[in-house]
Amino acid sequence: MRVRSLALLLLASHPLGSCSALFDREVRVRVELSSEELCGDSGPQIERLALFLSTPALEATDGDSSRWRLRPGPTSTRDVVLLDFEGCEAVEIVGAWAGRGDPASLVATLGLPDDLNHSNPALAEGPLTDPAMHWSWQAGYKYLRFETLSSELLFHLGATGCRGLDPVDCKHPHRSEVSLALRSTPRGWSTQLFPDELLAALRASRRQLGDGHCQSTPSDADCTDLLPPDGRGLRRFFGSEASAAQASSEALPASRVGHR
Amino acid sequence: MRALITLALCCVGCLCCTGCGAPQEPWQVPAGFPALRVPADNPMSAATIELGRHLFYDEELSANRTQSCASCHIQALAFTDGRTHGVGSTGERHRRNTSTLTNVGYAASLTWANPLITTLEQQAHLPLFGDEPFELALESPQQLVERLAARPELIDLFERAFPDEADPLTIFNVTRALAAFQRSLISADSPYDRYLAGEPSALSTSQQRGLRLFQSERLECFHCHGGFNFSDSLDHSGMPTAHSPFHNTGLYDLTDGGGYPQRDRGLFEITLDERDRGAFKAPTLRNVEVTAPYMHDGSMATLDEVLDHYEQGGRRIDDGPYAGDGSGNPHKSDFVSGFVLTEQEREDLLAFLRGLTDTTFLTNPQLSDPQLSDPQSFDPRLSERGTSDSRRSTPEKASS
Repeated sequence: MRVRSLALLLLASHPLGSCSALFDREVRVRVELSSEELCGDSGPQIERLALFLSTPALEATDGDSSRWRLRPGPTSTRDVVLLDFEGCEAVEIVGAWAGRGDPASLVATLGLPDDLNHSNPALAEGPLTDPAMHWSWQAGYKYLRFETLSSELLFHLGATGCRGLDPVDCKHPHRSEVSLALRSTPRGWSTQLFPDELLAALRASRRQLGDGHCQSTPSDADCTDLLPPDGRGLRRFFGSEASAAQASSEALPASRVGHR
Repeated sequence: MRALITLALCCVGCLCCTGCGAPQEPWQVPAGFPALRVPADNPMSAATIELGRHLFYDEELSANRTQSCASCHIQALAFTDGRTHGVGSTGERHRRNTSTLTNVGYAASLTWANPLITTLEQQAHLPLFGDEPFELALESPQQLVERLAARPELIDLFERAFPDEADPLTIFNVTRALAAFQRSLISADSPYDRYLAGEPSALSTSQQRGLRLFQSERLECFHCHGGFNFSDSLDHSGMPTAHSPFHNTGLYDLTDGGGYPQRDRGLFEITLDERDRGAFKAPTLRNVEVTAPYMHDGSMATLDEVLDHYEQGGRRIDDGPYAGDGSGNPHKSDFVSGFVLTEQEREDLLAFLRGLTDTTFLTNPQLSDPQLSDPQSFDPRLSERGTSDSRRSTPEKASS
């Protein structure tokens, strides 16, 4: 009897034992770029646009949220995905979900948890092996990398103001929670990002005092509209605050960017 | 006499390498120098050092196969490049002057102003894969591993260096080997070292006067360039924690109040702490005679200019975009307060600094391109050095 109770207790307390059977539904989300200027008829004007999302969850229409376990591969581990929009191409995220009903939004952290952010890139796996996303001089990763052709305009989002070694303590972690509204498609679900908004923010800062390069320094004029949680350019990039252009194109479900 | 002793020690080293039965330590620092702090997952061995040496001089480590680590770290220049700013394999100009690798294994932090980069294994990622600026400009770890996999002689070196691993050709092991070789770049045979070891004539009378000036409270040099390695950025196995200070030496004072040029604001860029504006690491002064130009931005061509700067307690620039009086920089180190030197004192100080030049280190074939020296020799220098230096006193104590 005692053995049986212990076994039940272990089964209930073990994350795989209690939950793995529930992750039985494959959900595909296609992430597209909506950009007239950067991805329009004249071809991609983006040198690089890539970002890390971690600990993703899907929120159902009834408000229930549950983890979305990603399919491990070159661009994702179970908990982290690198969205790399090479040539403005859309990317697809695939994972197993335990929820019921239809997912209404993808909720994730923009950025990486500390233990991964400051880990040894020589021992990294999957998306963390991409040296272009490693921010070697900040001993971490770029959470988001946006560069126009020839790096004329540049935004590298990542943790800054760091001190210490074990653990590294960063004054500006710059992680944020993002919530992307999903639409149903024949193959699954889709959502959009709006890189023109990053472009607009960098151009605006360059018109003022900046040089159009933001490296996540809060006091840098170029970063005024870009850093989480309040940077308007970043919020608009995720569609959480509609710009005039977005508002005129089509009505979007509500997305969010918040501090995490 | 010294030549005879050296010859005799060399012979002993050779005999041991070729056949004496007693096992040798694979690697050791010179007597009188503290033991290096070596990461637990990268113990020093002759085989890892040798692999690292081969990689260090290998142009396959740059994407376009035009540069190796040694392109910017030239042995004869104490592993600097003689340029104002380094130039990477793509032609991109670095904003900073190339750092010396002299005794780099004792540095508490790497690069000019980054307390987050504390191991050579970690630092290797900057030149290999970094893009701000591009240096070796490799696209990915896979690119390098695939290249090296096509080189049987290197595979052999990887297998010797990491004999317990089924697949030793990994980027992790590339960084481990590069770090091991760099830790072996130890300079301990300058006239100053010989002077400390009981050879009074190794330093001239002028140099000895210069040494006393260097260590004086009047000049304050030793506060930041003190200890056996002439740098207060120091870490070794005998220290409870690394000592990793940074200093603003008053090179600039732009109009915005303590500002350094926007292109390089030093430690502030990492910590974002206002007090860290314009702060950089004090580099070792060993071999400083051959590491011109000087300062983090290579903005001083000669040691004479450097002495002018410290004599004035900061640099005054009258014209141009960087005009300002660095002596008034509010973040400047208290030790850069200025002094007055007579002509003779200036000569003495410069002579002493030249006494830190270690020609053995600058010419040792065991630290040079293995393609240009005997590729079969596995590190006899280290045992020789350890034996030879065991006769010396402790430089750290003597210079502190």
